[in-house]
Amino acid sequence: MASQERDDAMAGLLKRTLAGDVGTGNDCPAPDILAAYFERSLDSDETARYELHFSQCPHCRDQLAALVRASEIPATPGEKPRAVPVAWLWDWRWLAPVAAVLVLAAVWATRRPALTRIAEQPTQLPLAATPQPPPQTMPQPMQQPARAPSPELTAPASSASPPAKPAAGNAANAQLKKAETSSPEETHALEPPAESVQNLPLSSRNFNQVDTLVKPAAGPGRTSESVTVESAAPTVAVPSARAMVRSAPPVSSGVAGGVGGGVLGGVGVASGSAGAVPKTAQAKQVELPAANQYGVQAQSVAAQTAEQVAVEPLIRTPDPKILWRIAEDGFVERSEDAGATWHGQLPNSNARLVAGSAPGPAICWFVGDDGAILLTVDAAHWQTIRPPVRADLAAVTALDASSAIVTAADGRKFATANRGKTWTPAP
Amino acid sequence: MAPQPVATVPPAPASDFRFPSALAGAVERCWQKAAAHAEWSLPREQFQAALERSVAHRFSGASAPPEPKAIENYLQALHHRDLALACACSAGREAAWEFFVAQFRQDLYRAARAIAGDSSANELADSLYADLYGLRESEGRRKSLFDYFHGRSKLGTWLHAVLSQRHVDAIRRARKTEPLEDEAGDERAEIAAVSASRPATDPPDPGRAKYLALLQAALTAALDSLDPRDRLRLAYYYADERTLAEIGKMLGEHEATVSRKLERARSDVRKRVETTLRGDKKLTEAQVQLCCDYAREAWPFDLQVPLCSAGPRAGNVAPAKRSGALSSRD
Repeated sequence: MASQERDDAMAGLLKRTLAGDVGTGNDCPAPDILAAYFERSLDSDETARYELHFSQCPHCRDQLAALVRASEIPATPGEKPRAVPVAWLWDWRWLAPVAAVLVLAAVWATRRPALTRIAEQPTQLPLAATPQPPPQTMPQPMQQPARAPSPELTAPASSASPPAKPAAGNAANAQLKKAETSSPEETHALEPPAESVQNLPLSSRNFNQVDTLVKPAAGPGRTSESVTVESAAPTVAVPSARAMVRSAPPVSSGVAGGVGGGVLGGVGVASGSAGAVPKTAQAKQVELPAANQYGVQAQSVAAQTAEQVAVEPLIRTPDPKILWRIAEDGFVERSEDAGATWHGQLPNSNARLVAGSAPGPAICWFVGDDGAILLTVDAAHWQTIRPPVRADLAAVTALDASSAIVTAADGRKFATANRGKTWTPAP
Repeated sequence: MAPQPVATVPPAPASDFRFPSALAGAVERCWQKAAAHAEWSLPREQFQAALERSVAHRFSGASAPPEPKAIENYLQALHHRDLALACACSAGREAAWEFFVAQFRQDLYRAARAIAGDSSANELADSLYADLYGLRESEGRRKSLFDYFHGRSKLGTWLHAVLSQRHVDAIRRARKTEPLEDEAGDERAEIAAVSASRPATDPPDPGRAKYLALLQAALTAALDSLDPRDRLRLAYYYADERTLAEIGKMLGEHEATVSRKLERARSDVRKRVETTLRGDKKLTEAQVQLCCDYAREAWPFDLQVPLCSAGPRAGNVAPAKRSGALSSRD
């Protein structure tokens, strides 16, 4: 209260002191100065000089007050009074945030149609339009998930001995378990979603295999023998031949290509590897029918997969020399010399990544199981993006570091323009 | 009322200032912007003379002659069309005067009503109208109020300013003739109110006058150190008892800005005063409190009344009051 009393005292003293200023009347400015001051057309020195005079001259203050009244008269009867120009309209304290919001809204509005158009392109659908090859009778293979496996899943085993369960349960593992115990006729139905197959990860540890697999296909004549799958570590995912054949897309870049130019990693290569591995795996693990039958099938699959290899299994960026791809165990790899050498990164050891999109040389989005979305904007540091749903994500198309469309395994699409802060369903 | 124009009028008195040759281009641009109507028959030389008077008026009192660039910038900012009209009217051009009447007469009378109220509006506007036309003569030429328009503002705003000045002058002249008893009566009432607030049993404090004088001196010094705009804001609020809306319109600020800056200025003044009393005057905290108590006693002010905002009071000139507590603002 002492402070309040002092404020009161000060206010009373101010009133007495300021009201006591009567001015001399000798240096009052002429009406042209008053008018110019009223219109804010005096320079800063003049303004300060005359405001000091006005503060001490009630005569001038009365004139200014009368000037305000005169300026508020309507131009014609019934019209609104002319408003006195106020500087508060240009106060940066509120103008700057409002302008920023408007700019962001405009950017989002202009980019939203682009994202919508991208989402509508049928080629972007992971595997929705992929023609399904005729089903083939398969022996009882070892059914393993097409996506990034954990070491426990990739160990070849007989059909009678299910592979070790992965540390983290997920849909793929559940499918794996079912596939292991199911009959061949049920295998097809229980196989992982087709779109997952094209995202077969590559081994990041076996560069010989990698080098071979990423080389552009020489042509349809490439056979499985050219793929050194035998050297693949047991950690390499081994999908079923049926799944791989069915999932082989004519243009694997459909999903992630889009505007960003990204290509799903491991598509053709996965097919390539998948086309070769079953042959080996079948030879090792499965009681096969006549080898010729499967040999022919393997070769046709290899032919198909060779084509897929030529389709670009990599995640491309606007810079042709910079490539991304998905490795296993959450690893991703980046090349700066068009695939000659690769550098691995581990954005998230728990993430099982299946697809990526790189709208910039240093920008890359990855999506995977259980809503995993990872983003880097500098090709070095990764951030986890909040997913729209806690479901397996199968594809991503990115426009820039903030805008992307992700596709869930069930086909639902979601778009964001603010790096995952908010998601909206996309058509 | 349509005054009869004078056929020929000697040019307005020339100023001592002449444009250097370097500014010929700037002057030509001003003439082009003026776009004087052909029927006004305004000579270019007469318009240039008006520009020279304007420059002389602007830079009068300067310690050194203005730089050509400063003059050029000043010329660019003028309202050239209005200046050309004023020149032509001052020269007695009938077509210009008819143009002026058509454009400004109605606004002139409306402004007079807004400033002075309906009762005095016509008289105020008529006197200005006559002076604009120039019914008076001096040194063989008609003396027009248009000679005092230098183009620094719009012609309409300048007319409003002239009306305002005349109205306020008339009010103050009338106030000077009011009986002195009214003011004295207010003063006696205030003193009586202050005396009644003090218990009769308290002996007069001999140091009271001294403390109040110290406080007043500290406050004057604090006000002198304020930014002119802050001081003007305080004057509008405390001396003129203007509302926040009125102050905002006069300063071109939002009411919230006015309120915030008033609070800040008041707080700054208080801090400066207390610092002066404690530092320079070596008063103790108790003595500073005593100063404030005496001030509250002598000049009570109720800060609890919120700074409200309301529309302007039309037709009134707010005199500087010397009342006591301010209980409300309209």
